[in-house]
Amino acid sequence: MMFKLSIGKGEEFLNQSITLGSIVALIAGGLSVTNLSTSFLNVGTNSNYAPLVNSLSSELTGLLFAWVLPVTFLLIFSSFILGLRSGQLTSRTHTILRYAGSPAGRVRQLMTIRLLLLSLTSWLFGWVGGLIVSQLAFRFVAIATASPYLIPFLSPLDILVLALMTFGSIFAGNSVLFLKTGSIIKEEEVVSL
Amino acid sequence: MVVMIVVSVTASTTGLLLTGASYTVAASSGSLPGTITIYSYSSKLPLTSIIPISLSMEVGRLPGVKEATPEALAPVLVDNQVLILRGMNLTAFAEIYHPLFLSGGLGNAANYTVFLGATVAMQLLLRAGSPISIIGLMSNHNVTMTVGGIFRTGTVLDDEIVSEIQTGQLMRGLGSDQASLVSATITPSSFNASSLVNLLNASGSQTGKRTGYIQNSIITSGLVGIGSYLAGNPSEAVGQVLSRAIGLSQNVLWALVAIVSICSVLSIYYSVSWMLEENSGVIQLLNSMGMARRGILLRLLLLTLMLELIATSAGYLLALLVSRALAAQLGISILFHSIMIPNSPQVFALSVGSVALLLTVSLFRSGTFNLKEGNIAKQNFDSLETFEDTM
Repeated sequence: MMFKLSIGKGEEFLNQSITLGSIVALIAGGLSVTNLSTSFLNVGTNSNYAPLVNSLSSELTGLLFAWVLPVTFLLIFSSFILGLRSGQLTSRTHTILRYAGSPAGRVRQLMTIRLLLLSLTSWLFGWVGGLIVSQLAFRFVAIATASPYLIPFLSPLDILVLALMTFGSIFAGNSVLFLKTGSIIKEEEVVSL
Repeated sequence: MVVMIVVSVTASTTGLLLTGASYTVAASSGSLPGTITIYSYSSKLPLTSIIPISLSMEVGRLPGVKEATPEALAPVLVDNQVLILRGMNLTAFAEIYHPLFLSGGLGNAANYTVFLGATVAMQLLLRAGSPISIIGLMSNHNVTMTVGGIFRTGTVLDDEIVSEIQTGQLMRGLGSDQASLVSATITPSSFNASSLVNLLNASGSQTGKRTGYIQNSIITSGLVGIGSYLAGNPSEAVGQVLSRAIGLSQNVLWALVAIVSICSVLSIYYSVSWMLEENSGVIQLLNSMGMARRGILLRLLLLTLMLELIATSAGYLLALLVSRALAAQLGISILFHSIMIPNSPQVFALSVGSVALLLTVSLFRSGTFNLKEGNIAKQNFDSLETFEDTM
């Protein structure tokens, strides 16, 4: 029951996961293509060309980093907007729970579970979706241009970075709502007393 | 409005970085307006091209060609940093690029003298008279030279080292009869592209298969395969250079900008539905006072589209500033040249258009749902029903 209460309307939850997942997928796609370029450039032999290859590789990384910054900001802001909307949808449930005698900590616990589930599903949808789409795109380009098929990939470290980014952004985006909910509950406690 | 600014900043930053990277790749040849660059058809970029140096003299004799000079481009290592060394006739360098010397000057040119672009000099903390150790990455030659001057041209050469052509050939591993490209300054009124086509067709194999009459503008603002050469102005032919260099068309880059906007579609949808919910009381009041649903929606659409135009314009400007600041602070470079972030009307139009489209769809989808008779009252009980279901 707690699980269902924390999720609320399944359709809304799924839509929110897809929204945030699609933004995570953008970052995952960018990372996988950069990994591909780096592995393609690094042929593994130590030669005079090594500084040239390393320099080209760091140019790509720098470009990706500059792009990931605003996309991460979009991720945080989108999770904030989704937090506001989900606040509208769940606030009545939370109020009813409070009037039914649930402690304030339990309501916060429900919100935390919701955020954890939202982060987990967005992260999973994001990196799996981003990787699959970039691999499909490269396969399509390889077929269209009759060039060798280079496979974009994500390293375990990339997946960990994406997890930190997704969980961090979603919790940061919802922090205002989380604090606001706490103050509403306090006010309600005063009124009920 | 803030959502629209954030979406616009993200989409515009993507577009500006991709446009900047494309322009930097295309401009890395150093071609200026009013010049023609000739390099090997078989090479993806001017940097990797090898052509006979004698072509320069032949091109220089064509009608309408003021000056033709061979250039040898070589990637070199200086203080663990990869840079481009451009070997060329120093008199031609002064005439074509009009360098402004911040210190030293071409009068200091002697054997074993190089000239540094202002950006490179700042990065390496070198000044006129300093010794500089250069390693040719494609030739493995190692030489120590003297900085003859620091210049600024406002072109990609500010990120390069300029030397006499012999040094360029040595660092690139070319023979004395070879160069990377030929740069020709033309007089448009008297230049005849057909004479260049005939010359290039005659000197080499027929890989390019370009014959007959050809308009001047095709060469001065594009890139054309002629014989075993490519001729044109790579800086003006971004799409063609990109397509040859990495096999991607510019349309793919525009598609990436659109994808970023599309990934934000539900954020915009949720912000619209949040706004409608917050103002549901006013909307219901207007509706109950007799204002038609369509009228309310159209007024809302007009208002939000006006806000959208302001928000996306602000977002684009912010993206331009952020991209330029990030490029400068992070030292982002493409093909060893600092990335140039141009002001792109296409990126602006795409950003405004995609957000406006998403907003219109979201507003009608969300608004139609919210304004259905009794729907808001129904929504008020939704959470209660959810609660009761779970009990």
